[in-house]
Amino acid sequence: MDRAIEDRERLLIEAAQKDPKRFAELYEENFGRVWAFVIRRVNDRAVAQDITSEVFHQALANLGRFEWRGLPFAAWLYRIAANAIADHFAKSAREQGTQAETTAPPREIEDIERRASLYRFVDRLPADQRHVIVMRFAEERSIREIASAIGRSEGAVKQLQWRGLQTLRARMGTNHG
Amino acid sequence: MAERDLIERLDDAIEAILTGRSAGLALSEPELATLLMAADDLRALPDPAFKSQLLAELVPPMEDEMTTTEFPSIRPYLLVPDADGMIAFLQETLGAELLGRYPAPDGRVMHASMRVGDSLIEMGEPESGPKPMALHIYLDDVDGAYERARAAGATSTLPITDQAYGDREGGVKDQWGNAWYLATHQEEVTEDELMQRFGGGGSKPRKQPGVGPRPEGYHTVTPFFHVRGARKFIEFLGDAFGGTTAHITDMPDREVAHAAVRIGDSLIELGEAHGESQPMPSAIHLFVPDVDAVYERALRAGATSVEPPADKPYGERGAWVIDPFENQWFIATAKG
Repeated sequence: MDRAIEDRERLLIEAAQKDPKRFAELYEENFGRVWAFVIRRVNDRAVAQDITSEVFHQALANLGRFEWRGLPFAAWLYRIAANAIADHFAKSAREQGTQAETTAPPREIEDIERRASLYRFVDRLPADQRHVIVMRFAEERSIREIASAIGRSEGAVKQLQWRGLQTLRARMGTNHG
Repeated sequence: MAERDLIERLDDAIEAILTGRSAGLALSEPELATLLMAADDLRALPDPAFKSQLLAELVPPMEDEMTTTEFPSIRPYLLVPDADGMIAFLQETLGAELLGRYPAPDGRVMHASMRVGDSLIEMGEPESGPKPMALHIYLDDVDGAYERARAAGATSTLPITDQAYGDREGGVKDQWGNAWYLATHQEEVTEDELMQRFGGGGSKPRKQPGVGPRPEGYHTVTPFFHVRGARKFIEFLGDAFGGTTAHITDMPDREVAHAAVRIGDSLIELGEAHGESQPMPSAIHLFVPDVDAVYERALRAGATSVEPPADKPYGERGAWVIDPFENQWFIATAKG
């Protein structure tokens, strides 16, 4: 891990260990990663929300016991997530007997990081593009529903979707090209 | 191919991905194929409402800050359409420090609080329209604050003036309509001297060494109410909140030109509405020892209930009333 990023992460963890209100910053940094890790494995939004919620509640509760060993904080979160996913599948009868992986292989980490960056770029899109992208992909709404929600024509919504994807592709290209 | 066709074809392909028919991925134009790859990754885009709700569960808003008794018991509550703009304005103009900022799931700033000198200013973006109010701020360097406010987009309502009553004062209105009376207290003026000055005599206002930056009994921030029926308002403050009159200045042409009423450890100031200073119904977060008792008194004194006392998730027991002058009072007692 890059030294500057490591130092910053370590400071954030220490701050949150002293004052739980500071956990918000660790959450902002890592939400997209945990979500990407979980949704890849469970492939169901409602379940992914339950498990992501469980991961952060556990992380906050156990933060005092977290010891810095030079591994990224996200690796600790992935372990909590993997256990939570295993618990979830153990509880659901149809999945009994399957063993969840408890670590993420390097290729998967790359994919998670790419998705987490993409989510951050969505947050920074111009407001009209962001609204369309969030409604279309996170809320899974049709072009017609979005047009009626934001009071624009269907053609205008498709154009905003196009522009939004172009902006995201350009930003991802700059960062991962 | 025309851009319009590309936009349509991209949407057809996205629709195919989202509905689970992934045939759309086989688009031959490179322009479309790369956009569709981004779209494919976005299928798992997390819902921002879920993200902010979970954060609010993990880090409950305001808990520590509301229970603290380190700030004066009267906290002006600004209802502004652009809380982030106001936060920046207060940072630049008054050197205020942001203590907390809590977004609502719909993206509005539900609540934010800032330390200004020894006081707290709170704010939120209302679902209904903004409610500008007037605030009197005592600070070390009124000239600097006045200039910084103007540089930050406020308009002058009163150029810096050495006032007869011992303050060096300037006024500005911010872009959301709030009135800021900025002052450095620089001179102790007796009532006799003040009346002489008002009559055109007496000595010239001047800086006295060792005086300031604020008069005794004042905090950095004091809300200022312009009301129609100032004497009735003073009666209401006494009946509802046990307010006691610290002073009243009557002018020959205007009763209650200025008054200060003490409630708990803080003052509020008020004056009979006149000229440009017309009523600005304000919002106040008022901490009292027993919210249930004060709520009952406020209703008996003529206030209307919006919310009866209830335990809040952020460390206080709170109630909400509107007084006969249309000011909103968030009455609270810290819990625990």
